[in-house]
This record gives sequence, C-alpha cells and structure tokens, in this order.
Amino acid sequence: MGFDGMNCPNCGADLPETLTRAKMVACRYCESAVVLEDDALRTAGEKGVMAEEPSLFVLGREIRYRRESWLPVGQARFSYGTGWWDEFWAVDGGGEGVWISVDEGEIAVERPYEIDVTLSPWQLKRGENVSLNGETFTVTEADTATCMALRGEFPEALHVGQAYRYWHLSGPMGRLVTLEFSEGEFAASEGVWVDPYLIRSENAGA
Amino acid sequence: MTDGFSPAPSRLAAINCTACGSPLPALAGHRARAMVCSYCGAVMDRHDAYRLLTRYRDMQRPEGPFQIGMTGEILGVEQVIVGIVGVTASIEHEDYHWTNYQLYSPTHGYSWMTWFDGHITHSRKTRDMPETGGNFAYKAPLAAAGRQFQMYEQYVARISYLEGELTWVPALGDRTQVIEAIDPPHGYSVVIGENETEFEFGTYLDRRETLAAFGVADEFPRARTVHAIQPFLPGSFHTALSGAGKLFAPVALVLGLTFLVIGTGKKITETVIVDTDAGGSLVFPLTRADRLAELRLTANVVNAWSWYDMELIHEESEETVAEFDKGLEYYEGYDSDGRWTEGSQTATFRFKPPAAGAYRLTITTGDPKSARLPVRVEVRENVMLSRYLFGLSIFFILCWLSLWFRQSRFEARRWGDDGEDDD
Repeated sequence: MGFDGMNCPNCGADLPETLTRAKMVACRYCESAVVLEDDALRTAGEKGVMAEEPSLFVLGREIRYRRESWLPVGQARFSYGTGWWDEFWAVDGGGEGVWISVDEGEIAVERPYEIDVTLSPWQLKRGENVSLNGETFTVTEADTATCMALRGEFPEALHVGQAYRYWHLSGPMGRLVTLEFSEGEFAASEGVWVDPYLIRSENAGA
Repeated sequence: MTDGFSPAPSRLAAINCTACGSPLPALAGHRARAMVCSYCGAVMDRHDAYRLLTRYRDMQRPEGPFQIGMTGEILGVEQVIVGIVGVTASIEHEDYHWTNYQLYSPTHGYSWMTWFDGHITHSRKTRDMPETGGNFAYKAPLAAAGRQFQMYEQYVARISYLEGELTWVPALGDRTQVIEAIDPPHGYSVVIGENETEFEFGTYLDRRETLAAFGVADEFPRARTVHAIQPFLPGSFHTALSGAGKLFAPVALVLGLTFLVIGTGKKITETVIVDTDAGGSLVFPLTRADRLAELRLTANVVNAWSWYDMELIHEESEETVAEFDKGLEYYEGYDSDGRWTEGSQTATFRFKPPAAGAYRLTITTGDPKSARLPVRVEVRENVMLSRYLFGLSIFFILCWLSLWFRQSRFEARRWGDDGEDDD
C-alpha cells in the first residue's frame, strides 16, 4: 500500500509515513493509539503518558552494538510487580524488526520466534524446564505486566492498560526466549542479552 | 502540542529504617532487592514495603575510600554508590579482605567497584559464558567474552559486611566459589553461588582518575602488590629509555664493527731496537694532529719481565709530549690442567699528537733487574678505537632490554613467582 497522507481518525492530524510499514502508531497530537487494519484506521485508546527516563535508546536515533545497528521506532512501557521496563521496537539495516527490552541496564534483543509445541500457561512455572523446537529452556521469570504508555510505531496492536502474562526462559549459551500470553494466544520471541557497556549511541556516553 | 511524555517523577530520596528509624538514602532503582541499614544492620526487603528480614549488629565497615551516595564516572558511565559489601577470602592459607561497592546507573544497571590494597577495579555481570571447556587449571587458557583469558586462581569468598541497597537479599557469612581468569587490564570470573552461577567481566581502573571522578582525595597508602588484572604501564621515562636503546644500540654496534675493520690506522714505521741498555730511538712523522696515534712494543720475553722507560719528543719544538714506562711480562708452563700462560709480550700506547710533524721516541731499559731484550716498535696513525662503541652498544642494549626486565619482574609479582612475600 502506498502512503497517501493518512490522518488520525480521532483528531485528523497527519500520521507519520512510517505507518505504511507498521501495524500501529501513536498519534503525536491527541495521544491516541492508531491501528491500521485492512487499510482502514481505527483508534485503539489512549497512548498514555511516557515519563521521561534516562535511556540509551531514543526513538529515531540509531544505536550500534558490536556489528549490528538498530533504529528504535516504537517505545512501549510496561509495569510489573516492582517496577517497569521499556520495550522498543527497532529496525535493523535490512529492515527487519527486533524487540529490545530495557530494564535498568538489563537489555535483551529478541526476534519473533515460531514455537512448535502447544503450551499452557499453567505448565510454565518458575524453575520448570520446557522443550522448545528440540531445545531445553528453563523458566527463570514469570509475571504479569501492564502496558503503561506507548510512543512511536509497532508491528502489532498494543493497548494501554492491557495486562500481558509473560515468561522469560533461559536456554543454552545464554539464549533467551520470551513467551507472552494475551487473549488466549502465545507469542514468542528469541534473542540474547546485550552488554550495555558495548552499546554505542549518542546517549551511551561511551 | 508536542510528543506526549512528561519528566520523570521525582524519585524516592530516602526512607526511614523500619527497625531503628534512621534515615537511609534510597538511590537505587526498582531492581535493587534489599536495603541494609547503615546504623543498626537491619536487612529489609525493598520489594515488600521494607519488611525487616534480619539484623546484623556490630558490623565493622571495611576500609575504603568511598561512601554510599558518592557519584562518579566509570568507563564513561555516570554511577552512584548505593551499597557496600565487605568480602574475606582465604587463599593459600592467607586471609585477604576487600571492599565491594554496589554501583547503580539508570542506563547501565548494577555493577561493582572493588577496593583491594589500593587497587580499584570494576566488574559487571556478563552473559558471555566460557567458550572452552571447564579446564580451570592454573594458567590454562580460557576463552570468553571475545577474549583469551588465562586461569589465575580459585577461592571461596565470604561476606563479612553489608550496607545500603543491594540487588539480592544477602546474608552475612554467605559463601561463593570464585574462579578467576585474567587478560590484563581485564578479568573474567565465574561466581558459583548456592542457587546460581554468574559470570563477571572486570576492568582495572586508574586509581588517580577514579578517586578524582568520585571527588576523593588520594590520601590512601600505595598499593603494595601487583593486582591480578593490573596492566603493565612502564611510564614515559622508561618507555623513552627503552626506545632510545632500541634505536641507538644497532647504530653503535655498526659503528663499532666499522671502526674494528678500518680503525687499525696506517702503519708509519716499524723498527727493532736491539740494545735498549744503551738507549735507542726512532724518528717518525705524524700527519694528523686530530687523530689518535699508536705505539706498539713487542719483546720476546718468556718467563721473565722487561721494563722500558720512554719519552716522546716533538722534534720541531723539542718539547716532550709524553713520558711513560711500561713493563712487559710473560710466563708460561704446565700444570695438572695442561699448559698455562700469563701476561703479554705486547704493550700498546695511544696518544693524540699536539701537532703534525716529526716525533722522536727514546726508549731505554729502566729497572736494573729487567731482562735485556730487543724490542720491536711499531708506529701507526689515524687509529680509531672500537671498544668504546662496543661498550656503548652494550649500554644501549641494556637500556632496550630494561623494559623487558621490568615487565618480567612485574609479571613475576602478578603471578607470585618472584619469591617475595608481598607483606
């Protein structure tokens, strides 16, 4: 679909051209989350208030890590029992998207991951081993997070105020799998932990 | 209207200890799990409304230059000190103590700064596991975090002091097994606790810069030891000295070899004075006043000695240029080890003529007990001495190698191979 100057269905403001490659954007003017569905736009609630915090990641500023580089284009903030973390949607040099989760220097970069087993939330308990695609992972964290705020664009619809159950699984050679359960479905992503001291960005200070 | 975000909400700056009521700074982020009261030793659960978990009374804060609340930049990252952990370890029957400072950065998370015997290091958790098998033998190679480390030591560390905000709920006396590998200025540690194994990446920090970054005056004793991950930094003087030696040693050596080949000069005359009792003499011309001339006496003295008094006179001015005497002695024989010799049948004198022209050498047998033997006199001019250049080249080679010697001694101290007791 070509970009033909779409407008926010709530306030009429121009939406960014990046909507052509995203599923969802947050309107910069009226704080509405706008979802693109079958070439039609609909609002998906408020985008929430994003309190500004020190971060290595800033929307629109490229970051480099070892031989890779990513451009963060969307930022979602989730709260959990004792704090909150940011989930950035970023695109790499080849246009592929990654999720970057950032929680006080604990940074993981993950890509969408297809799992070949049927899972039940009830079997995913902390400390349990789970076989995914022939590999054994251990559940290291299980919690529920609530979306607090959205900014930028995302490959899927997110809703401020919605709760998501999630699990972190640790696998061989430091591999990480995150499972997310929402509206009766699992979504999985797989990736690695990232050393923040090796990140190079305008905000890295190193 | 601009993008909808707001400034960060003001953080909690302090809490009151739920055991003793003392005000305690709350500087860490939400992932810090415990708070240990600086006054009463109460351990509180930050994730459970600072519920009192236990209390450790009469803990003695370990020595160190830093305090909770200090801020400074490490590895380009602004950090705040939020907690203190004293550690004791027994290594080869000797107790060691050091102080770990829990650091917090909103962007880079939690890490450690360690003070040990005047050294400062930084370590942070890494997810890079060892790439090679579990060969933890002394000095065995260990690949991890994209580096090639060398196994250094293993020990059991025990917590001896707790204070401030920490990322886990600690207990006094908790033990962890630590396996350390080094690649100065970096280190890699495997920390094996009761429930999990973690990996840490360490960096040696410049003491002066780090203390200054935290606003601390450097009034602490100098380090007595070489730290395991301390880099060898010879300093500008020794680097320059070694560099000069490397540059000039070959030059001096080549010049010395050149002088050795062409420096024997030009033979002016050679004559034999048969009767030195009567006093012989010879006259010879010297053309270069700015170059060395050489007189060489040779006598066939065997198991005896002969003594010659000599005077060198400039013919034109009739001035005595030099008066000198010299004995030739030479002995030989056989003993249980075979043939032996001692002394020489030759003597050499070098001088710088004050002017070009003819010179007369008179030579007589001096001591009455001296053997009376004919002596052959050879005169050469334009002589160049190579031995000083060889000496200079040896000096420069030693300068060149001084860095290597210093580094060898430094490495021996690092590995404890120097046979010295660090105390």
